[in-house]
Amino acid sequence: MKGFNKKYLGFGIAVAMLAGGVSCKRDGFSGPELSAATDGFELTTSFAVTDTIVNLGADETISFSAAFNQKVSWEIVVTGVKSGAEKTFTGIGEFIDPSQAIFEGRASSARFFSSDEYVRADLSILGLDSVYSIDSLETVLFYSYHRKVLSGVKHIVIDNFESSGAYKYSPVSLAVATDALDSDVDFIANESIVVEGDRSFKMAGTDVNNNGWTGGMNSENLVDFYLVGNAMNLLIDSGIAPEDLYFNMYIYGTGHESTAVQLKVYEYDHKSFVKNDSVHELKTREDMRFDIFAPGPPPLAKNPYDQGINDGWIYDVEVSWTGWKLVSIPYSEFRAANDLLFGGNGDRVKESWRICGMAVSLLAFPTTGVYTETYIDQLVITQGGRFQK
Amino acid sequence: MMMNYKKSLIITAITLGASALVNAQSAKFTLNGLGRSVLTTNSISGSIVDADETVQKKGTSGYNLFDLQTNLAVDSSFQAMAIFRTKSPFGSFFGATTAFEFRQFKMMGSIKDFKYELGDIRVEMTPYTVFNNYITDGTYESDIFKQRREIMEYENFNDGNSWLLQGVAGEYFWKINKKGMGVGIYAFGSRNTSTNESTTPDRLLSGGRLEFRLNKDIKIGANAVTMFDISLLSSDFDYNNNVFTGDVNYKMDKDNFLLDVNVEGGMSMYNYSYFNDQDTIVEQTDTAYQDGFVDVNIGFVLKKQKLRFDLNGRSVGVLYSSPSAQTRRINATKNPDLFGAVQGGERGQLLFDRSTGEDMYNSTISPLLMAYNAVYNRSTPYGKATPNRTGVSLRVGSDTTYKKMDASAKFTYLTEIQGEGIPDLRNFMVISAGAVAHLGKYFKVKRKIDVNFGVRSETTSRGGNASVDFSSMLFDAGLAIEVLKKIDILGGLKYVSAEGNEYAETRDDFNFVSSFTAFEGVYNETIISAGARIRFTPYQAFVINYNMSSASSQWNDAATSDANIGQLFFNYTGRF
Repeated sequence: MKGFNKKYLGFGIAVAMLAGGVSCKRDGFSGPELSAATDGFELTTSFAVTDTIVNLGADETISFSAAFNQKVSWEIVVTGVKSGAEKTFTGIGEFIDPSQAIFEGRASSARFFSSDEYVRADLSILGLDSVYSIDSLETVLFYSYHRKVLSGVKHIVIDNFESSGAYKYSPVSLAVATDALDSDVDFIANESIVVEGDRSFKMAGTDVNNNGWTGGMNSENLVDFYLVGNAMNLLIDSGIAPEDLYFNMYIYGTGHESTAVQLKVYEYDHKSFVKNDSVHELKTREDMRFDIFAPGPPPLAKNPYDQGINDGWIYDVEVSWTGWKLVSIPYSEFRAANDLLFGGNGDRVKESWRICGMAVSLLAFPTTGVYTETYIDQLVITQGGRFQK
Repeated sequence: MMMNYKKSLIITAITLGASALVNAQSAKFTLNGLGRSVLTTNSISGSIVDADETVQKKGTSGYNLFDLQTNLAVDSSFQAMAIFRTKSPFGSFFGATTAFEFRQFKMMGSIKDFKYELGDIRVEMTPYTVFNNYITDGTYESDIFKQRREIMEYENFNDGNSWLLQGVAGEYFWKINKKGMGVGIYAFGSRNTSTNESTTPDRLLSGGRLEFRLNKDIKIGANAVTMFDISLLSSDFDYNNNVFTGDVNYKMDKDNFLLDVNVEGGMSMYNYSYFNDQDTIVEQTDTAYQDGFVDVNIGFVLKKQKLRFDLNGRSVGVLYSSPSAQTRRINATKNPDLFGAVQGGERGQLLFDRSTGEDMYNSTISPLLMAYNAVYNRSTPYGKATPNRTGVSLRVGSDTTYKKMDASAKFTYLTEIQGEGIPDLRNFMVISAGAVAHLGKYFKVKRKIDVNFGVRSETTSRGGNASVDFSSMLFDAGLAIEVLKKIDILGGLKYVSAEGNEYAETRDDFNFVSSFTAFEGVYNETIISAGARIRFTPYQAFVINYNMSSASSQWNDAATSDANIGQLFFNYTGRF
């Protein structure tokens, strides 16, 4: 090979050694550990559940257990027959400890479990074709996130669009107002497109008068949280920072362009109130409750919220996707309402503890005058983080 | 809003044209473009739809489009290019639903040895920095499939191994002496994601190369690419990924042989912070890691024999992260628009969709390692920069100077560097070969007579507690025969088969493997295509062909699923 020099061969060898030097095997492994069943695998203790009926509405739980004659990777999938929701538990070992697979009604899938449905649990072992099943499980009601603290996040369910109940705020969907000049307006509970429970809420309409607003919902007197008989139920902490307070909601996009959902939060800006014939500075949520309702019990509000003299804070969600999506917006991202008659005439200071209500509206935005459509479900306020599914 | 947008498009187009007229004496204004008409008639059958009368089983679709490219060259220091697109779906009347858009826009020029580009720029660096990898099932394709792929790539802005980015680029070369010594510098900056002004920050991709040429045979380069967020006070996250590499290229060109050696090595540094609140750093999650790679390629050309040999050795670390080199050209999780809804949900991709569907391609750079389909490629789903791989490959092929045939064979053996889920490592063995014979040149006939075949066989194995045994094969064959002057008969066959068991990994937001899905089964698909092409001129052609795809799959315990798609395809494409 004329022209070929030994020094080039040396260069090549040096390069090859360099490549070899960095290709060493690394110890351990990445990802979760895997262990497949081998020949002779047996279930030494049957796949079992602590109870076949579980009242999820009463915060009851069930747990699963089994034992094997070898260390294997296992997976339990709990599936709601009606909802199709799934909860998955995985692990590795020679047994499934009940503490590893506690079913409390929360789902791993996007779909939540429905109320009162039959549920099956399937145990599969890596490397094994057989599946061990328990298909006689039955749930009563469904898991409620209301007043639950999960991973340090406190949940306050404003509306799951199922029904109102004791110790729960009045659902915002009880009071619906729509634009009379629009057409094809449909604000109604829906049972076909649902992500949580058995019902969602459909909002649709054509913005004929080009004002961008098709309809919205908030309860009587614009005080949605008015069923607060005592300070214990004033669930938003007085000291919570706007950055730590989230408004979470599932929104279903139908593909109709310029569909937007507006969240509007009302603050009660009264600076003082009268109690025992003397004037006091309004400093806490309990003061606010007293000023709105006392002395009579709700719903006889003494000082109903007036948008013309208080703050309204707004966040518009452009529904640019199709299907369900969880939207979580920190209160710090809400902007002040501009219209002086509708929430733009308060002190314009964002104070989380003064929140007294909220509304959800359907907008045609950014293009007005078009048909818009969406579904909403599971409106939840969380403190200390986003919604913990 | 839409009206304003259209107005601005029209005004900009008129302004460009007017500018050209005003400067008609000195500026050069040229037009070129592309017109295309596509019409397909499709049908689907098989067990995935047979029992469901509610899903669509037949349909016709298509479009007409015209891309007008305006080129303005004032002088060498300023040139501009804009492609204005008019596209109307098949079946719309009198312009209804016709869409107008600027498809591409660029300004460029050179001032002495400095060149610049602004707007839609093409960027390609090395396979470990900025590189748009080809998909593996497109090697040695027949003309009948190649023309479909050209449409898919054109529509998705794929051109060679470059990415189309929106930004600015510049380069300068300083000649030190006449023997070729000099220093070159290239830099680019682009925006990958735009901010929503609240929770999502702007994400930029920028980089460059500094190259020192000792002479015409030896080059030493340093490359840097960074992808980073311009974090807002209210951002949910802050992402930062830096890649630094160095390379040496040596070439020895003699009368009877050519030797070229290219060595590249480098590191990536990944940092991602997720936080709910910037001020109080509530729930902040930080993830940072570094890793590296080295790649050595020795090429040897026997000029007389017209043969080229390439020996490659490489090792890419488990956590090597280079989004602009690892982003996939095909989005494996995209459900096809064609008969997307079937009994029980989404149809999922077939080889037919990967070979013909314009909606399968991805044209944006992803910071996350995208999902891939194990049927087609497991050894290098992210190109050469696929993390957690080490091994060698040897390729023998015809030299590009050989015009009668293009043929090659390649053997690749790779292993993981670190096991996934267990300490045992996967081994990957890939054998690929193919050829395109230009028989017209053999027989000294002026007409086109091309015959091609290509095959890629891959086996994956692993021992231990979660053993893997998976093999797949892709086969391509075809012909193009000019039976009458400028009239070609086209035929093509594609076949893919896969069998065995594997574990598909799911990655979290930090690119770590978070879970595995075990799967075991069989997949087969055959596509047979036949048709004709009339080449009116070298720039205009009309094509008609019929494609028949038959796919069968059986995964885990599910029942066997069959899908048969038939498609009659008409296409006229003209360039000027």
